[in-house]
Amino acid sequence: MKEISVKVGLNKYSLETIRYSAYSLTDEAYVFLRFAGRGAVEVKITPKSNANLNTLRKRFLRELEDEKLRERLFRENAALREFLVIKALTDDGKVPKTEDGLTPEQEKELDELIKQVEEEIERENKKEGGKQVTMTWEERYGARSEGKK
Amino acid sequence: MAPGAKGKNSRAYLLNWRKVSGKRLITNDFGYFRFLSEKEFTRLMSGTSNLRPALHQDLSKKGFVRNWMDFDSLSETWRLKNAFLHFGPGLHIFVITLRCNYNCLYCQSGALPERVHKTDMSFETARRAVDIAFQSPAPSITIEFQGGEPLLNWKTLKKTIEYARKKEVSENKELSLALVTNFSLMDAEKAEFLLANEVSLCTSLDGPRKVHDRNRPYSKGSSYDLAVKWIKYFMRRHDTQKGGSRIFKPSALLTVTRFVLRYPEETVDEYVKLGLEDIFVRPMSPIGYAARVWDKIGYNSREFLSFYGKVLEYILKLNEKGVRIREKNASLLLEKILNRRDPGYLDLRYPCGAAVGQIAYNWDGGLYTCDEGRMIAQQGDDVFRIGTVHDEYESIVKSGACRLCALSSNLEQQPVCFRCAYKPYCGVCPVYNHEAQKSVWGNMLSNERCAIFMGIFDLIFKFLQDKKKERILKKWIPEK
Repeated sequence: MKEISVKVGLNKYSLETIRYSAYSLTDEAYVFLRFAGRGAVEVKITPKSNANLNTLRKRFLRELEDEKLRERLFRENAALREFLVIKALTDDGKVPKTEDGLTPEQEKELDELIKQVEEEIERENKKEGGKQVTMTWEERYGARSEGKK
Repeated sequence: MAPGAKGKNSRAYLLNWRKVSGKRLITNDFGYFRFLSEKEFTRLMSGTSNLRPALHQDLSKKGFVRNWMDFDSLSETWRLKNAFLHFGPGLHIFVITLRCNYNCLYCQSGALPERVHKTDMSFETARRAVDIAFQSPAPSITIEFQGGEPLLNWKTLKKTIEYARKKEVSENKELSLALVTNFSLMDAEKAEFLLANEVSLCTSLDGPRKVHDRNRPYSKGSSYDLAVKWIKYFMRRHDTQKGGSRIFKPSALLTVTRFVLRYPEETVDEYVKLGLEDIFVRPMSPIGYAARVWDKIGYNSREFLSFYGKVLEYILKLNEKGVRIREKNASLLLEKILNRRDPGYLDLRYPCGAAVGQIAYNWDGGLYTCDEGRMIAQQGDDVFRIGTVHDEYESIVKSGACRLCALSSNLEQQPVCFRCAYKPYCGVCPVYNHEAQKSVWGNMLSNERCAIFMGIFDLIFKFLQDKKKERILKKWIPEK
């Protein structure tokens, strides 16, 4: 039986990217994945009918690049997307009615409270010699890499 | 706008893409789309600083640039686009009888001969079905009577219509009534009753006489003649109505068999001739009894799409000449694409309409996710059964079949659909997948239903790149 084998480095593509790229061939081929050592995956492609092996290989490689881009885009936007969907599902799209919101007196009271807190923070900062937090711990020292103790 | 500056290299928000007629089509969760050149696409994906200001502005407005997003406006767009998530089932399909006096080649509904009276729905069952329909949280509901041929069980049909109209008043819920009939048993008395109760009427019209009569054989005469006679009658009644009950325009459905494929223009002409303003070019599915005769009357997605393309091109030519006619698949999709609104098309949304958008009530009181799920049960496979008319509404919508369909039709969990540019406008059918691919999840890479809709979307987006065609297509939908 004719088949073709492609070795894909895990340093270049994630396992998820390899898995979906393999899945995307399943209309024309059977695809088997197995680890080839620690840093690579062997992808064995067996056509279901008379599909050209080289065409399938090229299609797989193209799909890897495409999927890598999609994966990056999804990863970068996952949290923002979740926020937007939750906002869409929970907002009722209406401006709150006066009786549900704050009265003008309550708003004034809240504004004064916020002003007091802000002034207090400013005083505390001055006591510490004007030091202010301008960046997060990760931005200043870099994020701790996963797995390290 | 969220923080961010145009001068900085902001990144793209989650989007999907596809090549359509040499351009990159990009779409996002909010239903926005944009065509990009290859160069523009590459620039967007590597950071947006090099984009033309006008393009940057347009992409930002549409939610494609993550540092320039109007959260309130975009989440509102998403909410309106998916408004159906907040409602319960709005469509309630009553199979009043399984009996039918026609022998349609493609019949998927498992219709039985006229003499087999045991498959008539009793009024008691219908009454319970109406009670369940009114328990739906949907602000307005539609009860659609079909069969078999529903006029064969006129007694139950009539009493059910009367009961539902009374219930509408007592429950203070908006009710629409629809009847799908072949018109063979229609007479003046029945017509008056239906019109007085504001029942909208829908029939089949499969093209020119020779094709229609071949698709829909009737032992007592020409099914085409009967359909045309009553379409004209109800059209006349609509055109001459004077206050009182609303009289709706009759509508017709086209079921495309292999025999119809040869007559794209003639089929459209039939609809135009009768004053029908919509033609719904519905592909057949190899579901239920149609699967058994698929090799005789079926076709593949390529053959269907070739026919569909000819129909659409011809309709646009007629529109240019001032003739009013639209293709229904396209107008439903255009509403989603251009207005970012849900037109209530249960087959193309996610999750699909199964049980959460519609319920099919069988003659014996069995409830199913949809009419297709009911047809499969007719052959002994009850996988899409969600209960009976004796159950409570809550147990029906919490049934295993309802959950199964909601999960498997969620495009977020369909690997190919999740990456598809047409995801914001599309949907899968677990019943089709179960029948055609032996799994409710299916595999979209070799799924013929997917291939058909992919082709329809490709055609629509191709047309939207053509200014002249775009102008005509925009007239098919209400202005936003």
